[in-house]
Amino acid sequence: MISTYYLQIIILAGINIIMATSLNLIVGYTGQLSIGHAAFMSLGAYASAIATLHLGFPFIAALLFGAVVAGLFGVLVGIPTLRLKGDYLAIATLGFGEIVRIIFLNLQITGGAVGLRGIPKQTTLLWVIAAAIFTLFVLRRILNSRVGRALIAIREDETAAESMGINTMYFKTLSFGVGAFFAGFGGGLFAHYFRYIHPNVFGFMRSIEHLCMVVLGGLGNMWGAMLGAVALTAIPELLRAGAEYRLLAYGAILVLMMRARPQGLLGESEQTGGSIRRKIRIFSRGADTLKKT
Amino acid sequence: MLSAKGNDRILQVKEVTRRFGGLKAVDSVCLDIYKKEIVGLIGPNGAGKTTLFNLITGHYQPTTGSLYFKNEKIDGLRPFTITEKGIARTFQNIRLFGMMSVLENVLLGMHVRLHGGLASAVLCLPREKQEEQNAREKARELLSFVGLGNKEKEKARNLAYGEQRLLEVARALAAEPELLLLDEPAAGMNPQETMELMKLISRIRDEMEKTILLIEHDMKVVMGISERVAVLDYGKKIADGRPGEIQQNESVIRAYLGDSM
Amino acid sequence: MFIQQLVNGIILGSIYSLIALGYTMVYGIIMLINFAHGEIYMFGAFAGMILVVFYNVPFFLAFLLAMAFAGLVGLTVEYLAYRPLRRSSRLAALISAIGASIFLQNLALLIMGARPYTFPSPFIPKVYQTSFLTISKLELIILAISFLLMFALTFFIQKTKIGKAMRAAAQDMDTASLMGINVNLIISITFLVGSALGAAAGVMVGIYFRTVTPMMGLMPGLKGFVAAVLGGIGRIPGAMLGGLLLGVAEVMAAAYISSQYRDAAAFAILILVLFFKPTGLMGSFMQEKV
Repeated sequence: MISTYYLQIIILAGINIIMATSLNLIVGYTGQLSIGHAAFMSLGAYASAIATLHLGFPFIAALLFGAVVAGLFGVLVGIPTLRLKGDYLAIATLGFGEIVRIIFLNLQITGGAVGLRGIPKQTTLLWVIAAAIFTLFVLRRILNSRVGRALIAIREDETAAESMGINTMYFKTLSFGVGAFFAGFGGGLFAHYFRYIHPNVFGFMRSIEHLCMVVLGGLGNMWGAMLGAVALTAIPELLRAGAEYRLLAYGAILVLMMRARPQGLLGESEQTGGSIRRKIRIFSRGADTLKKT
Repeated sequence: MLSAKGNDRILQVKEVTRRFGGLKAVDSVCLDIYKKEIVGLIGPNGAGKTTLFNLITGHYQPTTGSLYFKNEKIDGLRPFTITEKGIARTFQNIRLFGMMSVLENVLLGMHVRLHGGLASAVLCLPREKQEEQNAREKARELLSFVGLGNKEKEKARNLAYGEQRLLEVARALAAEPELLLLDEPAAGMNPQETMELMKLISRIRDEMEKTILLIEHDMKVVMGISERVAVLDYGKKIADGRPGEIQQNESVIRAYLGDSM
Repeated sequence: MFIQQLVNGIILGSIYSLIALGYTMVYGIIMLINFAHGEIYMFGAFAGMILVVFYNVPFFLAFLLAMAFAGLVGLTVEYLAYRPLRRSSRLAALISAIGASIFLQNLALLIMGARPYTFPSPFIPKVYQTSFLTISKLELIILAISFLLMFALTFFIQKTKIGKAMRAAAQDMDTASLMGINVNLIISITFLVGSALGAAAGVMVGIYFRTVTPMMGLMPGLKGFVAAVLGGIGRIPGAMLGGLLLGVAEVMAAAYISSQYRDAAAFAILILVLFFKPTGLMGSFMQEKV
């Protein structure tokens, strides 16, 4: 049997796979930089926990409820913010995440600053594996369809995409909504495993962590996002021996890994990755133009 | 063609002006295009040709004036809506989806004619599968029509320059437009490729029954395939007529060669 | 009441402005969100505190030394974490910046421990009072230093040769280097100056709240970044305006709505402004070239 310690790491890695692959849909495939993924995770976590505690939902229903709530917020947030380009979108999503956190810190139903405790432990390893497979299956289906083509086209060249008749706002919002849905799904699993949630667990550093997983693994590569999720879950644990040097090393590893492989572990090499790089520059087109005036 | 009746008119550009700051990039231009015409749009660099394209396709909005496609007002519409209504374009500075395959690029062109959405994709509906299969078939036909039949699996960015231009044409045709706008399709092509392109453009009109408006600097191409040529200079339309007339037109000659003549 | 809050907001805002300047200057040149800037601010505060408390260095000298020290930290971070990634994707550089930020924060935790240090104010506590306004000597000094530094920076950017080179590099790095500008040097100077300004803010916040901790850079770092975006990132006057606006908005929200939602107000303002001006208050919007 696996010890509780390893079980916890594996479950966390599974949840992180859901988080990273769903964020990859938004950042890696649609090309929209989001630093607020943890906010959707917290929406899902709180909504599902409340569904279980107060509404008596069965586990699967609570999970879906959390995911739907997060997905709806994804759409709601996406509509005004996805007009923004690049870093402006990033900071808007970050701001949204902080607002959610602060609201949860002050609401009664979420337990405020005390957090929400006593959530039944319903997430098992089997559930997490099934959920991760389900997530990957759905994302893969989307990416291989007309919808997925449209998303990648938006990443590659938004103007040309619009010329193809792609309603870019609609598809960006769709991508954001689907990404948020699965983030909420992951949040529900998280809440029902750790049994206690606090708004600060889903702060912006958590969003940053998700982004690191995606970039480290390789943007626009689902295997990469999975690898990134597993690596960044495992590394802090492996460093546990070093105790107080752990986070110091974690920071250094991020820098060194980016220096060694800027395109991510499974990303295409810089030589052939020109288009992805261009896309990231498109991120900043808004800012680019300011400097010229 | 020139004498065609009003209901044969597919595009009407009516007194369209577009300002950028103090500059009138397009200055009260009127232009009518009739069904199944091939019209050339020429003018010196910076005359406002591409701006006019961007106005027709909705990438820019006119400062004043209006545009009608099949007697329906289209200014103020977003580019994707205009594509849906039946106008497709190519870009002067090739804008393919470089990381995607040649076939996928054409499938993207077909976007507005397909219906598969989120639900049908996730649920693997047989309807979606069928539609996707048909689309691929049709995309392959279009690719062989433009002469890229054997390149479908390559990444768009790995194609030769001339092939990329052809792919842009195939991608635009995939949207099943009635009006096709070609922005310097022959730029960067060698004489051999240019010849092929001219044949292709004629076939698009004759076999697919499309109307074509093209910007081109290569006079051999413009005068060779256009039935009518419109000339822009400093944003104004200075001439509009048969290629033979345009070649004789004094203000056109002056625009191209300067006042020293 | 209102005027009092307004003044309080401006004091807080001037600090945000100083932090925002560091973000905006770096962003203007290399298009990178320097995530480690909040930590550099914290390093500056620590340097100032250590010099004053442990070595009895006179305050203003300690202030300048702290700025210099943080400037060097900024230079080092740029050299080790950003320069190797200058030709890579911006996201890779962003992750590297995040790594640097985590590293610096934990370095401070390791050296100084998690407990807060007291940073005593070097000024005799004195309060000036009128019928509508109460302001302390310390607050006046903070205001004076902040505006002096902002004025000095504007002069430096507008009038000096290095400042002009910085503007040229911000506009087009390749052309600037063709014109004989040493771009690497200019980037280094940008980090040096931006980090020094951040340190100044850190020291002032340290004496204002009388505490210095390794975690102190987190929220102000984020707020400084928000202020820079609010004003239009890459624009120096924008950062100043954005900082002041953010400070005032925050204090007003705390005073008139609820102090619990103080931080939320800052982000809500940001989203609201971006909704109407997608590139910030002073960022201009140009039509995308098709």
